[in-house]
Amino acid sequence: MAILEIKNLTKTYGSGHTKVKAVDNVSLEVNEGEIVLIMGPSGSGKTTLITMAGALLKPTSGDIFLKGQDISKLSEKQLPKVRLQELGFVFQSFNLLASLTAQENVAIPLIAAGHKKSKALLKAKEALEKLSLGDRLNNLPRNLSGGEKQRVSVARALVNDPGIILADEPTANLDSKTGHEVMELLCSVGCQEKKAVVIVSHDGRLKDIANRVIWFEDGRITKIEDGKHNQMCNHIVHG
Amino acid sequence: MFFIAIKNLFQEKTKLAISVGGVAFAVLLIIIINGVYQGFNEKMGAYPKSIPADLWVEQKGVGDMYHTLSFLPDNLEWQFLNIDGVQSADKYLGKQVMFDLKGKDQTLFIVGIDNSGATKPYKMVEGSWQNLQNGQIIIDKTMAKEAKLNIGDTFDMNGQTLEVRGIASGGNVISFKYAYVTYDQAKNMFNLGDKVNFYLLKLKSGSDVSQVKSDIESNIPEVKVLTKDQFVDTSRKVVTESFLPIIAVLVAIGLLVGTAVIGLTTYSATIEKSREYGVMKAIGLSNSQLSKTVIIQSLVSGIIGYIVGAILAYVIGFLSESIVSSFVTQIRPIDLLWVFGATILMSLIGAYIPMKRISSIDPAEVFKS
Repeated sequence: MAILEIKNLTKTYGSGHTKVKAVDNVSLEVNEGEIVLIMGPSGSGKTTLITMAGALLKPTSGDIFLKGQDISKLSEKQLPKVRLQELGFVFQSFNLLASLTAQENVAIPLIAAGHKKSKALLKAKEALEKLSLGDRLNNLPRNLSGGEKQRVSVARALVNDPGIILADEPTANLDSKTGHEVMELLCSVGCQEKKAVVIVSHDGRLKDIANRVIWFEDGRITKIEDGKHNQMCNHIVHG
Repeated sequence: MFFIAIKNLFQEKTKLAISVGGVAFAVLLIIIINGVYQGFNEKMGAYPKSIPADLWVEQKGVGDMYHTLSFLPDNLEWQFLNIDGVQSADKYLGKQVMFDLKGKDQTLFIVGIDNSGATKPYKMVEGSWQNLQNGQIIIDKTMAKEAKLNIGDTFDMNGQTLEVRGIASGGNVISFKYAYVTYDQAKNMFNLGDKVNFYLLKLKSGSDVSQVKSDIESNIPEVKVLTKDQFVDTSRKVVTESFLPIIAVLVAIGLLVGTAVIGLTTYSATIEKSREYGVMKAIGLSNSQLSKTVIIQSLVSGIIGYIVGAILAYVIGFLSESIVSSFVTQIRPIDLLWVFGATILMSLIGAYIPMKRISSIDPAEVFKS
């Protein structure tokens, strides 16, 4: 079942001579449990695409269906609810709130969704324990390693049980070993949590966890190839 | 959102201290200025209020007993007593006198005390007003402290030597202090001849005050009759009319300072955390939820500042009164309440621009590393 369905999506910046098509008539489907890796050179439009898919940027034309709902037609007031309930974000620079502990960072989406603070903290604790961060609950981001920060970020993205996770360069700021750990984590989000995952990255290693690799250039899809998700998934599930 | 606001606030302790300090300073300024105003306002009316009279009778056209002299014939007593409802009529002599005391200008409002004691001092601190003799004076404790005078000491006032017989309190009123001499001495001092300044009337219980007032004014055309409350209010107008505009300006400055400090610190904290607000927007928090965090931060800073400022106002008011005896403050619960309301208002106004800033943050920016 398609969680995300993008149809003829175009995003244009500027006008006249300065007009630039960042995304040019792109169509794409991402299914439940599928990991899609979008690769391409800097300025190819892949971040613009993921930003529109994340309901953070309005397309110039085209439609974005999230679980069948056309989010490109929603008003600015309706979009926060969609982002809160249907989308999870993982960022390159983690983007944790500096004054909050790991547990509180993860609890924020739950509190914003209306959960009581105590209940939200309990759920956040469970989410962090699941990602082996049970002993880091009360640490502030500055006291966490890069890999731990990204795991907290993944826990925050998953805590509201969204249909799709959008990850922007999730391994870029991590060393090789930690980057691999995050890759495995995202892989299990797809194959065990059955979430759709869209990753934008330059990191070729991520092909190992992707079902599909989409090459992007000048705002267009230029090539689609299979990833090695099944191998990695078998490795994670069966050890 | 409360816990995010509190965490943000206490993470930036220097900013919090600046914000709290600014609000505390504004609150201190407002409470002290208002306290001085209320203190003098209260003092101004305290003595006339303490005099046991239901009606004050003055010469027509006189506003209050401090600015214009009222002269009435000293034989009107029986005419008042003939009016239905009047129980007693006492004469009142009172006038401002300036003189040089130990090389410093001293201004006293001298009141003549007769045997009835109707015009006795507000409150005796030392000595007694009974059996006050000519050549003796009761002074206010502020004057006693400033001029280092004790009971038994003497001083010259415009050629007359007076012995301090007693010390009273509650008579320090901005530019002058109350002092009390015998009725005869006052009459002599003021060269009043067959005149008095006011009459103080007590009414029989159950009398219709407005009826008695109107009967007096129609029977004795040269007088104006004021109820006690009207007379006290007239006396207080000396303060309200002269000082209120100045007080209002200073209070407005205090409010502006408080609003500016709280607004600037909240705004700079918001700017510094723009990216974090963008992240929260991206993960689904609405503008109204984020605005709440800013409002809470601003309100908490304001409330802490208010508490610190109010405590400081009490301490500084107390210390100032101890050091400078003529300094008077009166901090009333109602004033603390309206200053609290003003602090809440300052906090909300201070939060307005940061809230506008938050609503303009583009959550898509978080994808830019």
